[in-house]
Amino acid sequence: MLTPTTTISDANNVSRNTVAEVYTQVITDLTTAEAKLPASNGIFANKYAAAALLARVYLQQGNYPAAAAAASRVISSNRFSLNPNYGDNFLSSTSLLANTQEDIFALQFSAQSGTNDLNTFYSQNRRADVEIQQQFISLFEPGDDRSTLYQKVNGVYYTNKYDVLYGNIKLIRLDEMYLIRAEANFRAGTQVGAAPLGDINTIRQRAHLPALAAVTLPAILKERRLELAFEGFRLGDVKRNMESAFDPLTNTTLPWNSPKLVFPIPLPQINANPNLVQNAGY
Amino acid sequence: MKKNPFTSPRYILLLLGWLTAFAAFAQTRQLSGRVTDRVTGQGLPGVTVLVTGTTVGASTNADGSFSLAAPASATTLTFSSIGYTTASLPIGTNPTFAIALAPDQKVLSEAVVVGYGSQAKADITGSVTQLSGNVVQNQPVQSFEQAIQGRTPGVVINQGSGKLGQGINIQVRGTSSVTASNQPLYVIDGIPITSADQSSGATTTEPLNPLADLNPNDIESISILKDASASAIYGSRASNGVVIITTKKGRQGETKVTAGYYYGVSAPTRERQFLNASQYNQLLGESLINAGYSTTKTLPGDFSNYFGLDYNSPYDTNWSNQAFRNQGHYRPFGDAANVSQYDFSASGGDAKTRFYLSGTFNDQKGIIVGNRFRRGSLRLNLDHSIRDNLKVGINTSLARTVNDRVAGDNDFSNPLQLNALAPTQPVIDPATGLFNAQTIYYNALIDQELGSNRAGIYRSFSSAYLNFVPIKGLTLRTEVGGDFLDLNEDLVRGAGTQTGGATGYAISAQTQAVNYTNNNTATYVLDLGTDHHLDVLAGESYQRSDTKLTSAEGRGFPTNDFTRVASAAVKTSGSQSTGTGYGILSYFARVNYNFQGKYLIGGSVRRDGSSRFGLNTRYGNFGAASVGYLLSEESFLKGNAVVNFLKLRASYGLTGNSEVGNFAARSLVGAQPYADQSGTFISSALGDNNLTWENTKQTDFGVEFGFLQNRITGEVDVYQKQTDKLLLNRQLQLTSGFSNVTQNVGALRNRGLEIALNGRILDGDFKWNLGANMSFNRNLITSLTTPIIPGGAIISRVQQGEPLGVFYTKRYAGVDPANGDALYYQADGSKSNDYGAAPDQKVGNPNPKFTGGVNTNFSFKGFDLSALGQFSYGNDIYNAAGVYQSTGFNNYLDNQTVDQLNRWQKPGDITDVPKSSFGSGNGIGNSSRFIQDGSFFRIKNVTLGYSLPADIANRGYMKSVRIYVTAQNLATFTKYTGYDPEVNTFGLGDGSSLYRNIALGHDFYTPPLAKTFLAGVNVGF
Repeated sequence: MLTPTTTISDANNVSRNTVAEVYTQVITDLTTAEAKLPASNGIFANKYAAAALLARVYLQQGNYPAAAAAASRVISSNRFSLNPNYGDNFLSSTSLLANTQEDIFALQFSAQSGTNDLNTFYSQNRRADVEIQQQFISLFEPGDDRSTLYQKVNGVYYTNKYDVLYGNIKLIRLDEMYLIRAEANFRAGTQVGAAPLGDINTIRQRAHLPALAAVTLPAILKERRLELAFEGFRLGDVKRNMESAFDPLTNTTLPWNSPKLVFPIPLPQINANPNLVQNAGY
Repeated sequence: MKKNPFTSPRYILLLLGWLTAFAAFAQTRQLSGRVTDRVTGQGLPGVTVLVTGTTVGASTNADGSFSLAAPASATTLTFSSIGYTTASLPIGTNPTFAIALAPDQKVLSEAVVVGYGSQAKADITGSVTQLSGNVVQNQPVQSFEQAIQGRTPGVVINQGSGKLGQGINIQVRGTSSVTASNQPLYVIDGIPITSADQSSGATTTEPLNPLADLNPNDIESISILKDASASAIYGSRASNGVVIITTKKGRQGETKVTAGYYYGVSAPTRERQFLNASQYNQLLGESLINAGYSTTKTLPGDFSNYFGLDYNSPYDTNWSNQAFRNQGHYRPFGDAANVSQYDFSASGGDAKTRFYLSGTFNDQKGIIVGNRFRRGSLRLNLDHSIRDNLKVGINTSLARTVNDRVAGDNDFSNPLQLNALAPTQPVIDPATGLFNAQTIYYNALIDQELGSNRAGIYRSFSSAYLNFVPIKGLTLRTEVGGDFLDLNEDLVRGAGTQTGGATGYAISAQTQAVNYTNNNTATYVLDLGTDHHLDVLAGESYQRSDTKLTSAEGRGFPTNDFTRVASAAVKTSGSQSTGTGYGILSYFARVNYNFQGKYLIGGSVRRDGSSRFGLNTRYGNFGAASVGYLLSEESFLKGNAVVNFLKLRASYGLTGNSEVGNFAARSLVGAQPYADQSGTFISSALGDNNLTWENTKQTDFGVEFGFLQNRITGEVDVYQKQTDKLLLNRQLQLTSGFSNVTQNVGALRNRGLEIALNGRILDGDFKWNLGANMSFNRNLITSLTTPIIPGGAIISRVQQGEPLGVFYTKRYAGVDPANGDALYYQADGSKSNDYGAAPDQKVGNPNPKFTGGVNTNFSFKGFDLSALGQFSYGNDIYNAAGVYQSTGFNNYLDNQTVDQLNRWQKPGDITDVPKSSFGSGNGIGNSSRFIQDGSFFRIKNVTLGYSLPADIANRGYMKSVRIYVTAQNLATFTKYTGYDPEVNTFGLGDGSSLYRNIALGHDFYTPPLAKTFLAGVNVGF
């Protein structure tokens, strides 16, 4: 593993570790952090931020009991609660967006700390590069409050999640913890903290949707997809769930393990470190 | 020089007294006359007229007239002037004289400005190109380098774009650096100046040219030091060559007054052809149908549903012309591109005090919408002799430059990017009457209406000197100089612009760059008998440069009438102040020895210490040695009818380059506040205590010759420059925690040949001169452990065994006749449509095989005609915008160049334009498909002038009147189909010198140069 250095030598030409080794290191780091961080730490990461990230890692790894337990530690701390409206997480009447009761960890931005590039690319007020396909919009049930964050301008849908120019970037929220706990419990067949149905209905209720009577894995994953859309989760979920991705522009379906769903290692890095091996497909 | 016993003040007084007494009762005779130039027929001012053998004399006034009282015993008059052969006339009975002096064809006695002094051309053992200031005067340019293109063997000047006052790329004998700057050192009147871009980067990432603050009309001469022998006296900053500019000085004689005016109109050198509305609909329609999105029937609906385009639009907008003022057409007055200049100067003085003062106002409305350059400048150069052996002087200038700038090439606000817009969309939205905001990409014209981008500069190049000659031959000189640059950049992007968003944006940045220099030199000239001539220089120099930046940035303005940051609702992160600086301390010496005017030996050394380098390696030694041999002074050639002049010379030396960041040698800690709390971070750039100069070892062999009474003169040089310890910004393994380090790694080489020839073909009443020069340079990276690959839209790279900036990408193999797919050469040489599998390979070279220029001058009576041509051969251009504008809608909706109409349509079609299938990506990747030969020949300048006969001018109380017409960039011959083959975008990459050095020959929505026609008048009083 890597150790801090102030000189560069051949020892810095590290090779790629295995997936298992990386998981081990990440989980060790986060477990240590959760143990050492205080419960309250101002704007910096606290104990629960570490637990929440650990929950995310365990879910991706497929360690469902550990994921449910970590998410439950965050929820049961009772330090966080869902905002009354989903949009409260993203919308603001000013150019600033503060932390809310739902935020477990957020990057703090202000007018003095530079602009948020997500705003540049997503916001319809700016370059509006990210155009959202109808196939995604169609997933929302009628009355889903979350769908109001997608607006059609000149025939094209854009998301309003990054309209606040100097908004904080919400990296980990409580709603994700409910979704992780629901999915992990469902997959593990457990009810750590709460039953999956209860957690999903908590999410649906906040989205102004009727409660479900029973829950299935596809229902949980769909809730997750809609709740966390355009926040950086989709690629990991596609791979984790071995889904395929459809690209309407080229009319092609990409399987979850397609090399096209893995970025290349930047060429300058391969040049700097000859021990790096390029990813397949590049 | 003969020993003069009368140098002490006491003797002079005595002498004066004696002369006055003598004049009081001696018989004198009043003589008068006029001295003219034998070539031009015009009066020659400042000619010294002496009664031969005495000190009685006068100098001619501005029209060449003189009068003097000669002693009765006088028998002849001697007429002498620098640059002319000295002539004598016997004093007969006629008291009026008319004499025409011939220009001194021994151009070899011409003084050439070198570092910390000047030398006779014949005695120089280095390679120096000196140009007269005449060639840069009254040209429709912003800075003098633009006017010397095609006149400088060994120096390649690329303007890069038609943006006014924009940075220019100059290479003296090739590129000597990869990461550090490879631009030459500029010295004005002995003081190194700030020549690197000082703009904050907040308004555009593209560079301003700090040399545009110098009025070209004030330039007396430009001297370019090319080989080590000439440049090593500037030590650590000489590897890229040194450009020494000398400004005009006053001369003893009647005051000479000039006034001038010109006015001209401009248009782009070339415009590009894009699809018109019906072609756009046709090709886009075909591509949608081919991609399976539409059928012929559904096209109108799909155009509107998918893209908001009107298939039946009544509009046919030529967007590409909208980038230019008046749609790129000439128009004598009004809102079209034009240029004008008013200038005034007065110079003269007496034995004690000489002066030159000038004022110029220059106003250029560029060809690109919104681009305008204005400069007002004043200069006063003053020299005063306190005593015979003690002189003081100042050279001072103040310029105000206002540049209304154009957005960077890689910016949606760049007006040239308008060519991507759909021709079926109107410029003005009929619903609002305002600029159309519903275009497929941002309509950059909105920026013109709702914003501004202005750089305002105050600049002063000022220096003062004290010159003392304590004993004969020894000159002590001290000079202090300052280059003061104050730059204010104001960018306003109102609400409704892309940058301004919903509420508007503004930034105001103030940069102050101050560059102080103190030079102290001692020069000793010694003649031992007639055989030995020794010229020794020793000196010390200290330079310090400080730069400060203060800026204020805000968003949220009540209305677009509010443009100052004070009115902004939120002061944003661009509100800051920073500072940086460096210092250089130097000691230097030079010796030139000349035996019998035949054998020349020179040597120079310099020791430099720079604050930029590592603790262990802060000082470095540089130097050069040279020899020269004037064969024409040998008995076997002396008096030869054919060969008048022949000199061989050779030099070898070591120079350096230190143009890296001020703190590149250090590991830094930075402050990084977060969430209103202070904090620090470790910079991702690693320091190196052993960082030191890039070293260039240069060898030069030259021959200079003059044949047939010097009617044919010329100079040929071959050189080799080997640069090692490259100052390389080396990429590190990010896993180390650092991103890069500046280290001395790698080596490169430039080899070249320069040829310059000049001929006086006709030399009677009708005169015809012809000159030509040609330069070959071969650049090669001789050692580099890992290639530097900028990536993205830049296909240039730096790789061992290849020239700098060589083009590496996929090699395009044309179109598959069976299915219209773009094909690429694979590693095994086969062709395939698999873009990803095709290897990157060497597909082009942006470095020209050779460059040069031709110039010719005719004169007859009062008429003069000159023409200048410039050429570049064998350089490739990569149109990085091709992936958007020449890919038949396979990329997106961008309007396409007309060549896309030749696309593949059905099996069996033979073409090199792939099938159009919307969004398919067919043929859109970087490849050799977008590379073209960038060779060109350009008629750079043609000027026709007419000087009124003196007697007519005199009637209007004027000494001289010349009217002229000039055509700039009159015609360009090239196979390149883009806007202009003289292109070098600054828009790709991050704007650092790394990208500027490497990304050669890239075109990216880069504006062309201007073609200008102007008429002007110069009047002398």
